[in-house]
Amino acid sequence: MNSNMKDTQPYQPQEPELLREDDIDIEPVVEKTEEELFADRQERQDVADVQAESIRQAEEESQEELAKQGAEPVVVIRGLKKAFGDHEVLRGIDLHVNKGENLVILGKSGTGKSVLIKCLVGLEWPDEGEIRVFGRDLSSLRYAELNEWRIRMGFLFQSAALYDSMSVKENLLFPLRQHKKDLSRDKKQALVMEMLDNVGLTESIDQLPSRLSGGQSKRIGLARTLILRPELMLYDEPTTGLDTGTGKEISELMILMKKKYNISSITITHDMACAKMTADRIIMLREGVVVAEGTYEELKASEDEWVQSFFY
Amino acid sequence: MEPVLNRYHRARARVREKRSQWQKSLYQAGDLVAFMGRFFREVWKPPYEWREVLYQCYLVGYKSTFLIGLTGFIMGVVLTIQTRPSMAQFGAISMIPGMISVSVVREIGPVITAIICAGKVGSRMGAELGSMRVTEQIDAMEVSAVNPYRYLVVTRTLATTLMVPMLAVFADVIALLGGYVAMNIHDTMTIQHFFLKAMSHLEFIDVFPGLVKTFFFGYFIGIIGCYKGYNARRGTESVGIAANSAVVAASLAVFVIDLIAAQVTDLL
Repeated sequence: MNSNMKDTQPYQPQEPELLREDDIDIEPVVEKTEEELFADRQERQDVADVQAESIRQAEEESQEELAKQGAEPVVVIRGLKKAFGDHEVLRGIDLHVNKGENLVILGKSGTGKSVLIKCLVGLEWPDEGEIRVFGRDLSSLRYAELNEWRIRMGFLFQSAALYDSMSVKENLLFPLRQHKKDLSRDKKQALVMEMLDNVGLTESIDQLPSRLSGGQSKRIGLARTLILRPELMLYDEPTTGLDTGTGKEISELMILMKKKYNISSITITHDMACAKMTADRIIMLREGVVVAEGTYEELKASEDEWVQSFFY
Repeated sequence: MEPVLNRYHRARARVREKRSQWQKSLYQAGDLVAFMGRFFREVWKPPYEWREVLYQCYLVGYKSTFLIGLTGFIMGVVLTIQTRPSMAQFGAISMIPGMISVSVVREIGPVITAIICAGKVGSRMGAELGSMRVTEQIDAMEVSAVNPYRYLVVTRTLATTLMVPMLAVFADVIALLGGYVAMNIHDTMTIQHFFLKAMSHLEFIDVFPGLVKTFFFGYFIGIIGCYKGYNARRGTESVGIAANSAVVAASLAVFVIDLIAAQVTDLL
């Protein structure tokens, strides 16, 4: 023991090798004034506006074409604007979603993607513009009418938003108890089991949401939303916070449900793998306007530097 | 035509942008009044959520019985022990049951019950609804075409409005029982005699206002707890703030209602 103590040298921390000022190749941070920040934003918005103009014209033509054919898209948005205080989040959005189509909305954080789909279900109200869902202008609907429309839509939240005081089974039964009161108890149970089977989680029926993993929560959230057989699904970042494998499983589930129940959908994401797998068409939001539109391959082939930044 | 909801949300957003404190306070007061008024509109409308009301009654009522009972008992014991020396000086020990019954039924029972419920139930409602707001569960209810106000607020407020009076009556009885136990520490009195004396001093004017104000206590505890939680902002911190401010505001409301009730009873 003593010999060990003799051999043991007291710990002497080594002086870290300090970097010299010349070695550091970082531009000094210059704090910008409010005017400069405003000018920067204005400049970014001007660039986005130029890009958006041609898309807007193409969208108008596309909507006119559909109107001539008598094919009413499931969702039509015209000139949608929304601001929070002085900050304009959406600055004139035009888009449509055809029946059976999955439209993916891409964009960086803070570009108003979530606000856009929240406007579609009446969680946010636009300042200007028109939102037509299943042929009706949402702003003309009273609360009771809006709820009838909401039953035809499903919304999968980023956090899945499961009711944490209820078990998985009760979470799925909740919308049935509210809207399908004529269904017998057995029928409701059967529907719950069918939906859990669809998402591959029948064994979790009695678990509480706090016991579920992120991916399982998303699946249950999806099952709960689909139990009322919506015609339009809105996915808010369905794969965010999940590992690649689980994200892929969720994307596959979205495709499967779309095929099985013929659902139109809008997906908000910045996960390119999810967009590639699920998108029939993609639109890209920048500074509150649509700056690019096309299929995954078309956008990947785009020469625009900003669009390219999403793919590589 | 501009839709009603749209106009309401815009007005709400405009006022929220105002910076000064007094404007915010005025806005909050107005918003609370609107929130409270909405209860009376929504409570009559179907679908009636009886299952949820019963569950909330179980949580508010049954789950609070031990706490209310224990507090009531201690209240009765302490009141008797502390008043006994003064009453003994005047040779009025036989008046103790009557004095205790009047003070418990008129004031102490309802107020103590309401204060305990404000702490226990108000904070639970504030935190529960605040957490539901933060985790988007209320939004999920809204988009699945379920009226969250009716499902969450009406049921909970109804439960407190019905349960607080029952708990207050329970607290009154247990407090009298505590008084009887304390009375027998120094003196001897049968339970029949104690309760006979206690009841003989109670008049309609003691019982009725004491009972009526508990409905108001219950309503305010429920609605304030729900208001604070329902309007919690995003972020986990807001859950704590909602729970805390629910207790403070509900407790304050209990005392204000008690003051008003005392004035009204005095006029009768």
